[in-house]
Amino acid sequence: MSTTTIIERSGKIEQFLTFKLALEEYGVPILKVKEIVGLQDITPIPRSPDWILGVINLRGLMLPVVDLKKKCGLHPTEANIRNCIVVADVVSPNKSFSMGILVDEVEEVVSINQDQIEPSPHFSAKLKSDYLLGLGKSGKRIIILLDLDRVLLDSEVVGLGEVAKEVSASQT
Amino acid sequence: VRKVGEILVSSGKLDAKALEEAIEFQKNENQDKKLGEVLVESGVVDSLDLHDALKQQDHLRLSNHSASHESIRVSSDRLDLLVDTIGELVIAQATFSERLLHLELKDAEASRQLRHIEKLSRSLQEASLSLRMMVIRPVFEKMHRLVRDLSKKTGKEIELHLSGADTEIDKSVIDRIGDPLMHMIRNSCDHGLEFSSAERVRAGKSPSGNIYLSARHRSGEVVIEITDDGQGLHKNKILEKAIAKGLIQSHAVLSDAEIWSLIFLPGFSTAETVTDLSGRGVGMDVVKRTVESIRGRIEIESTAGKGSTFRLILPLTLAIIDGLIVGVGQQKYIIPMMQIHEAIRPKKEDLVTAMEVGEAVRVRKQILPLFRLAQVFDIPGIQDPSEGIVLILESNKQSLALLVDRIDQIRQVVIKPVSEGVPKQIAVSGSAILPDGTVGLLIEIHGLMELSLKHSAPRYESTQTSENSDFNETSKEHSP
Repeated sequence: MSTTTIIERSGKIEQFLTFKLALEEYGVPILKVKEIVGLQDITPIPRSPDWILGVINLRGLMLPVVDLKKKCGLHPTEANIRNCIVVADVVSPNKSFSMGILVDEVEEVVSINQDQIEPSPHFSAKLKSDYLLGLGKSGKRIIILLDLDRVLLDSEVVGLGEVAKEVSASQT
Repeated sequence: VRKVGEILVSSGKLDAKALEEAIEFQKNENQDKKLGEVLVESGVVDSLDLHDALKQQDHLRLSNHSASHESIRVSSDRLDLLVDTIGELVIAQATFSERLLHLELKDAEASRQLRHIEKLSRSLQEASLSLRMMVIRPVFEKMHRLVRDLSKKTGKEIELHLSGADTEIDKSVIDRIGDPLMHMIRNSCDHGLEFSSAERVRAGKSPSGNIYLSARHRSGEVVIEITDDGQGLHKNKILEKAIAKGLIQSHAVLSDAEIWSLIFLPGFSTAETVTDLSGRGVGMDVVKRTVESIRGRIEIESTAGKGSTFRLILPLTLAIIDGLIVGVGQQKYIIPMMQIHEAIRPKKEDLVTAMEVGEAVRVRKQILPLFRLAQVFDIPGIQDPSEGIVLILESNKQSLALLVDRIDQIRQVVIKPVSEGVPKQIAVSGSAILPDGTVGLLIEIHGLMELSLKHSAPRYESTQTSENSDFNETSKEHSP
C-alpha cells in the first residue's frame, strides 16, 4: 500500500538540530532537544569539573549546563550574543533528566536520510568513536552527529577536537 | 439521604405511628403514589409542611453531593510544577516592576494596575503553597486505635483526648510524623501512666489515665504536644542508668532539661522489665533522629507525680526555610538561619594564624577554627578577614567560624534538590531561586567542614561543644 511506503521512506529520514562549537558544525537528533534558551547568568557549582558550568533557573527547574568545548578539548571561543543553551534530554539506564549545552551558535534543523549517515571512522586511539552517532552528509556539508547520552554521561571525554580536524581535512 | 417521612417526624410535623400507617397504606393500596402525596391526602400532613420537608431533603442531597467531591487527588509532580511556575511568575513580576520604576513612568493608572498584579501574584503564591497543606486529623485518629490496643494489652484504663486535629501541616511532614508520634504515645501509655488504677487513685487522680494529643500553630511552626497525667519522668532512675552506662560522670550536676535529654541517647531505657511494648532500648533516639531529619526539635517537660509533656516543634513545611543569603566574590550562597548563632565582623587582634595557614578567630571566650568559604570552594573572595563577616555556625555540636565577604539579606527560600547530572557536592545540600531569578546554592554545614578539612591545610580542631558554649539568644550581636 502506498501509505506504508511513505511511512517507511519517511522513517529513514532523521532530523538533526545543528549548532556550532568552535568552528565546527555538530548535530544532535531533534527528538532529544527540548528547547533553546538564551544565555543567562549561570551559578557555578563549587569544586566541580571545569566543563560543568553550573546551574541555571529554567522556569523554576534547576538545569545543569555543560560546556562541550571544554569537555571535548575544543578551542575556546569568545562569548557573543549568538551563544545559547540547548536544553536536551539525557537518558541513562537508571535515570533521565534535562541538561543544557552551551553552544556558540544554533544553525538549523537538517533532515538527513539514514543512508547519508556514515559510521564514524576510527580517528585515533584517544577518541572513542561511540560518542558519535556518525557523520551526516547534507549537501556538501559534513555534520558530526553526537550521541548526547554518551558524551554527557561519560566524564572522561577528550579529543573530540581531533574529529573536527580530520573531518575538515576530509572536506577539502 | 434521609427519607421525607423521617424528616417530617424529626421536625415534629408527623408522629412515627402515623408515618408507619401511611407507609403500610402506600405499600398495600397505592404503590404509584409518593409517600408525601399519601400523607397530604390522608390529611396527617399539611402540604406546606411537606413542601418544606422536600426542600430540606433536596438541600441534604446537594450538600452530600458536594461533600463527596470535596477533594481531588493530584500527583505531587503537577503540584510542584504549579508552585514552581507561580514562583517564577512572582519573580518575573518583581523584575518587571523594578524595570518600570527605573523608567520613571508617571502614569497613575499604570502603577495602580501594576500594584494590583503584584497583589494578585502574591496571593497566588500563598495559595499555591497552601496546596500542600493537609490536616493532621488522620494521623491523630490512628492513635485512638493504638491507645485502645495498648489499653487492652497493659490492662490500664487510658483515655486519649485530641485537640487541634484540624491544624494544617505540609504533606511531607505529615507523612513522616506518624511513626515518631506512635512511638511516643506508646511510651506515654507504657512508662508515663501509672501501673494500675489503684495506684492512680492513691495519688489522688482519676482512675483512668489521660493522654492529651494536641497540635497548634505557633509563629510559623507547628507544635504537637503529647501530655500524660502519669507519674512523670524518674529523674533519679535516669541519672542512675546514665551513670551505670558511663554516659555521665557520677558527680555531674545537670539541669532538668539536660537530664531529660539523656533519654534520647541510643540504647537508653529505664524500663525495669522488657515488655513487647517498650523497654527494648530502641526508641527515643530514633524518634529524635526522625524529627531532626525534618528540621524539627523535641522539648520535654516533666513534673514528678504530675505527668510529662513531650513537645514536637516542627516546621510548617519542608520546602521553605529561612536562609541567610551571603556573598563571596561574585557568588551568592544560602545558609540556613537555624544553624547560624551569630554574625560578627572580626577585629584584627581576634584573628590568629598558626603555621601561616591554620586560622582561628576568638569569639569571647572561645577560639574557633576559621574557614574561608572562598577557599573551601576555590573561588575568589576577600583576603583580609577583618573586612568580611564571620558567621558562627553549629553542626552536630561542633562550632566553626565561616568567613564570607558580605551578608545580603535574610529570606524565606523554597528549597529544591540540586539537579541530576551535576556531580554530588557534599557541601551543597540543595538550591533555591534567589529574588533576582538566579540560582543560589544551599550550604550544608557538615559537608562544608568535611570538604574544608580535605581541601585545605590542617587547622585547629574545635574542642568546644555546645554544652559549655555561651551562645544564646542575647549574644546575637554585631560588633562594629
